Amino acid sequence: MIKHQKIVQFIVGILIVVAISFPNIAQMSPIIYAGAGCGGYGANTGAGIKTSAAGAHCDWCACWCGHLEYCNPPWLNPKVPVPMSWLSDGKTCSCPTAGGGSSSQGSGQSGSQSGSQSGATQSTRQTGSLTPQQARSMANKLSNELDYKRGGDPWSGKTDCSGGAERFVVDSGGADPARSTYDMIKSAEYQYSAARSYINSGNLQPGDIIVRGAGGVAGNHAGVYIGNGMVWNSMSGGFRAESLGSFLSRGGSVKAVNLFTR
Amino acid sequence: MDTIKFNNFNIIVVILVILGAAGAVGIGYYGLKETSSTSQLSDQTGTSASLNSAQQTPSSTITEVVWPSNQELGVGSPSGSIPSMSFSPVVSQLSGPAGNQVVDAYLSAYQEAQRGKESYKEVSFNATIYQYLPLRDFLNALGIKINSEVYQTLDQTDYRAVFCYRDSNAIDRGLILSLQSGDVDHFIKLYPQLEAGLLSWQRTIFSDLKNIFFPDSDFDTTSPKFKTAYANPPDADQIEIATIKDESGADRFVGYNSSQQKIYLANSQECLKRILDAHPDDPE
Repeated sequence: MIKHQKIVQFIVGILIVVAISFPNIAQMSPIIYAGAGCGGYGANTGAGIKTSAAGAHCDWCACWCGHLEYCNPPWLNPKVPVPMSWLSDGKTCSCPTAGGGSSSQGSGQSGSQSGSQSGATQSTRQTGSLTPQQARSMANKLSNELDYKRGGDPWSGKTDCSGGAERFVVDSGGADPARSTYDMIKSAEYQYSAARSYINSGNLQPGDIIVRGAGGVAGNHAGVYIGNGMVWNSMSGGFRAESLGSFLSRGGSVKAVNLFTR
Repeated sequence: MDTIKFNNFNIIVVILVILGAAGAVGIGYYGLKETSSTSQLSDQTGTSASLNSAQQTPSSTITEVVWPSNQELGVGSPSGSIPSMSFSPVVSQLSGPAGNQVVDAYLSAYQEAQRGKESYKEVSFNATIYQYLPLRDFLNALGIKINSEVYQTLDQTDYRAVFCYRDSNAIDRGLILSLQSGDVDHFIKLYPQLEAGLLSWQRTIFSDLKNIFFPDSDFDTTSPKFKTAYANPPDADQIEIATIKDESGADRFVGYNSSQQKIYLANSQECLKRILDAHPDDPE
């Protein structure tokens, strides 16, 4: 009897320690953290059973669509928003491409090569940049499809300014710029004064992303230059176009220009 | 033996209970964590919304105006007599031409902002028959004008009067005008006209908006010199501002910003700042 009690006490102790140390162990076991790389753009990083908080089971899978954070199961890093590529219905993983289809080709790494603070680096533009007509068509299409939601998945129908810019570029066949304005600034070819000079010099091309300080609120605001002196961005709850001057008149100074590259 | 069986059974039950409890703790923790994360997001949004509500989001009022009144009362035609309005700090002295219900509604909103000491108030105007009072009739009723090039770019349904409480003797006024909606091609054509029109409007904007911005002032023909400034220094929210002296020697201010497919105007820099702060970017 005493022996059994000791065994029970030992097991209880172990379980308590485990429960305290790994409170979400019930969800962790089937999840594979794919880690850096994730097998490339569009790769399926794994599949399994996810136990929801309510105890229900559903199939899940994940694919990488150009962002390392997409590889992170959100419950391992709650700060990472639930990515669009996490599916809960057992569907095949897919990544958005131009035209809204799915693809598993190409590299999802940001096309923006590491820029310089001074902006002295001249990006090599690849051929096949967006034409103004293509940019206008994409802007019109996405204006009808997107509403504003801070932190929203760009492919969910509701997203924020940088999500809209990312969706615009990726759906146009460009290299994924980044999901957040902060990462866009980090990876931009032109930053701060160099970005401002780049804009002033009239070098903007359709598909280039401009990041500036946000007006009236903390943070940044991103818009996509679509040619003809127009910038497509989120405003008043939706995504619309305004003139470059109008766009630049709000918020703080220009922080970055991410060039459109394929 | 019975005791042993009982003990074994007991142990199994205890282990199962513990396992279940541990699982529940894990699930509960995870669930709470997720809820907390969501709550946190909600809280952040909520906080932001609350702050917005308190500090940024405008207090908006839909004011109904009996229709039709302006045209029938003879104050609605562009060539008709311009109604006079008094923005005397004494509320009881506020008055407009008898029967001009747009003026009445405008002054009523002014009074409300004054009584309520509302630091920021937006008012839109609805007609009782139509869903909105057309901008054309709003302008005509109040006797204010907009540069024709600019006017042609404006939406007739989406405009607002703004009141910014300063003190018991002063409520600054503003105006929010919206551009006609359309696709990108529409705006490619519209913006050059708008921007040229705004530059052109600078010459007459003081007298054009006199009835709501400076009802007690008269101006000579001197063209104001607009300059670029920032509503939120040092470099946020660029505005075009000008100050001129009216015939009594008092300084009068007009400032504006065109962004977000709107034109924001005010008769004080502080009020223009409040307008822009109430219409922030959709960020991140």
